[in-house]
Amino acid sequence: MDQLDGQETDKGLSLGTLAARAIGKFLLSFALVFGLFCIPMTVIGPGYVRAFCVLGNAILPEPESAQQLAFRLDPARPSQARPWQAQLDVEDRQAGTRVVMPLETMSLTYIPLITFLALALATPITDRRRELLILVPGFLLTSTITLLLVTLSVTSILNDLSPIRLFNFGPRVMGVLGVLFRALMSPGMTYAVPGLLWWFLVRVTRPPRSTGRPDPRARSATRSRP
Amino acid sequence: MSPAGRPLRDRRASASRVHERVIGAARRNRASLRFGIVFASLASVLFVTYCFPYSKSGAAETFFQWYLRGYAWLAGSLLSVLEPSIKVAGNQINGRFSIEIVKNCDAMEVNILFVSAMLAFPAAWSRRLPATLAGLSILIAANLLRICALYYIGIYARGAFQFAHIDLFPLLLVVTAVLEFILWTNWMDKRPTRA
Repeated sequence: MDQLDGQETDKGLSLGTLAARAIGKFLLSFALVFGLFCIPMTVIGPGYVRAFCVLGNAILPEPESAQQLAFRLDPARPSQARPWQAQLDVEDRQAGTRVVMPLETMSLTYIPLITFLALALATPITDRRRELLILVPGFLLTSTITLLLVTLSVTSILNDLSPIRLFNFGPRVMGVLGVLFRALMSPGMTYAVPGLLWWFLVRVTRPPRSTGRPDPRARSATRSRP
Repeated sequence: MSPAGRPLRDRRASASRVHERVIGAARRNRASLRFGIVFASLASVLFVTYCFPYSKSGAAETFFQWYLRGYAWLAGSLLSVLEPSIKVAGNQINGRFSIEIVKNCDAMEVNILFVSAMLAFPAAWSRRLPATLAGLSILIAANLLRICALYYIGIYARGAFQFAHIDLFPLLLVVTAVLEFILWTNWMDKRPTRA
């Protein structure tokens, strides 16, 4: 879509038609790439959950004393119905309480990541450097955001439904976290958050518009073409 | 050569080039930046209004309960065209399959993002307001169809209910909102202004 900037309409096509075609082509590419990422969903679920748990256990803090909370991530018991489910085991050794919380890794992490990747790969950009500038930081940012969303959901759910508190920020901050949780964890936001991030990166990395005067270097390059 | 070892003039020139690039990028993206800030501010206000943990007995929560009941009544009325046995009780639709309309079943997140993006778009208010209202109406109609489709998925393909509810339909709604935004903003740009 971005490539339309500066496109000429001398082929009898209006800019609107060109834009509609570009949008249609982009949507088709997005659907194809997204579909490709969705195909292995039925197979890779258990493997993805295992990888998620290994990575999560590496990030989660080790309790240094009996007063601290102990965390452990494990794949949920093998189940045909929920192959993407992990469970977070939180134990408050001091109080002697323990909470096991299910985490649906597909909607929490996998779908936002493939949504961003599909958007980035479907974007019609010919400049490889710009493509990498969107893809690499965007993927890292989406991963960070999903990690924050997982933390936010764990914190909010534990705070609302269990006697265990991960953080004790006071009622106001916890209220803000609760609003963030309800706003960001709704199903539509699974797609909207990576979509907004992609849009932001596409706009920020947009090259400057030409001044209208023909670039002499570009003209000579065109002439030299057979 | 390390930066510390470079002559001061070179470093100043380099800093000046970086400064020019940053300013240039900011100028180029000024319209996008303005749109982004207004969009984010509007969306934040609307999300806080919708997601705030109101007191259960307060006026706001009562309003939202009535609103959800209205939504259930609308979806139930639509379903009763094909299923006369449908009964709506409060925010519950009961028939061959039961559905409870709670917050987020109204696809409010998609509505909020759409309305914020439309209102942040730089166009005349005489075009922006009707376009926003028309677009919002289409989104609400699409969501009512989603609820009806979920009812039938619940009856005939219960195994696919969760997938359709959590993964498929939200994607379709977001795509609908984005397409609507593109079409409406295109319409707002095209329509000639009266002198």
